[in-house]
Amino acid sequence: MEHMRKWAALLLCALALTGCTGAGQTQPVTRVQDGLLGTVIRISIYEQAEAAVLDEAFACIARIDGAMSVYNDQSEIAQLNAASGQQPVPLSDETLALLACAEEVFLRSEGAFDITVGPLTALWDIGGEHPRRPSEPELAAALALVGQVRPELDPAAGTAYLPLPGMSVVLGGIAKGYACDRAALLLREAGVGHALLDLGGNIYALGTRPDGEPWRVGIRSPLIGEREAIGALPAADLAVVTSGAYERFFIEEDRLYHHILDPATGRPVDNGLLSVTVVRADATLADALSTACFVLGLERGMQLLETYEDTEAVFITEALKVYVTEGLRDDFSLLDGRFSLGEVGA
Amino acid sequence: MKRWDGILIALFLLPAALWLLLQRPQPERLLVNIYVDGELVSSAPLPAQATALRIEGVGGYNLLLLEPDGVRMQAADCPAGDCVHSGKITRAPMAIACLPHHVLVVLEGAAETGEGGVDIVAG
Repeated sequence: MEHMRKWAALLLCALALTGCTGAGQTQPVTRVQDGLLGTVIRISIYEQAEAAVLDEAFACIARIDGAMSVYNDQSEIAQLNAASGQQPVPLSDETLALLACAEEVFLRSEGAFDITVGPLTALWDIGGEHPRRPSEPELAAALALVGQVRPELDPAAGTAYLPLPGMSVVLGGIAKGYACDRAALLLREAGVGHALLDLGGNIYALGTRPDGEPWRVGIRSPLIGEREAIGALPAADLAVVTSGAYERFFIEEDRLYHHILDPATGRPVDNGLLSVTVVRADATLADALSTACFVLGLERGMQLLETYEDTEAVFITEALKVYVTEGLRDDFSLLDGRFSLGEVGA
Repeated sequence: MKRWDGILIALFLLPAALWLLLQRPQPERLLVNIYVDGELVSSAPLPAQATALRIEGVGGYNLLLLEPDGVRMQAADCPAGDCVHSGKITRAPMAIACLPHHVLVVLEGAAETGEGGVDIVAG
């Protein structure tokens, strides 16, 4: 009888183990949609959730797209650009607040992150229907509208004004991050504790895996045509946002022209970086800072990040060297033998 | 081990373990779902052999290469070709989009952690 009890206990253990599934195998409730904010958006909730929660999250992103996209003629930003040099345009509080946030990053990054690059992005049209290398006179004309003269924001009146005719702003370097934050907040307020949001590669890791462990977020290979992770880091309630030269580009006369333009030169950034990933609690600033760091380059980008609290980053160079900030040294793991860790200044 | 232990293993525990193994969920074959302008136009598992599939998108075509281990956009007549540059997708719920043609290709099935135990990839 004693033996019988022992075997019965073993069998119960076996049943319990078989019923378990790991965190990574928990079947999420996922929705994928393309088109909003000019990208593919995917939200996965790793727990029981009402479909209405996902509806609300996507509606929130659609609202932001409707206000801030330059591709939509009716958006607030499109109307602001259309009225440049003419008159101030009334804007919603959230669009004004995001413009103010972008202007703050412009100042702190010494112009590396600049939403007034609109004339340059229109000229190059990288990712658009007619991407091309512009002539020097065209570049000079566009550069005259970029950087020096800033958007005039009037929160009291609820308006913004672009003083130069032809001036235009684009929020492509910050709006996806902002939408990510708003959607994550909405999910959290609905009681969701385990979710992953992916807005065109801008990731927000909400809460933890269902087993309580941090999510493991990979950093995509910056080599063109590759989608796998070359490294990974743990993340719980963190945004992980990458700016990379591989995202949108065209090739002309064997030379690659990517979509991250240097506001100082008007040309695609060419400083030896392939991608910059910024990790911090909010995706809005992570988005803007990843672009700023990409433009600034490795050393100046690292210096900029030192001025922001609780902000870490991963820089990958054309030499396939990976540089991580101090706070990620113990957490970041390299997964691809072609890449190696580097030391700034070494 | 006493004699009764052997009998118990033979009669009770081994068949139970076999039954439990059979009950474990088998790995699902990933489904390739193709949407054009938001409508699901095709849903099929990854093929056993490489197969090319032409998709008529909005205002142009996309040529999708379906392989046993994943899917990539082989060609398209969209202006920028971002979908062709975006590489191969191999796990659910990864996706490739051709925004100009309103084409979205999504791998669906059991979500897996990738190499290195990665839940999701940034970038």
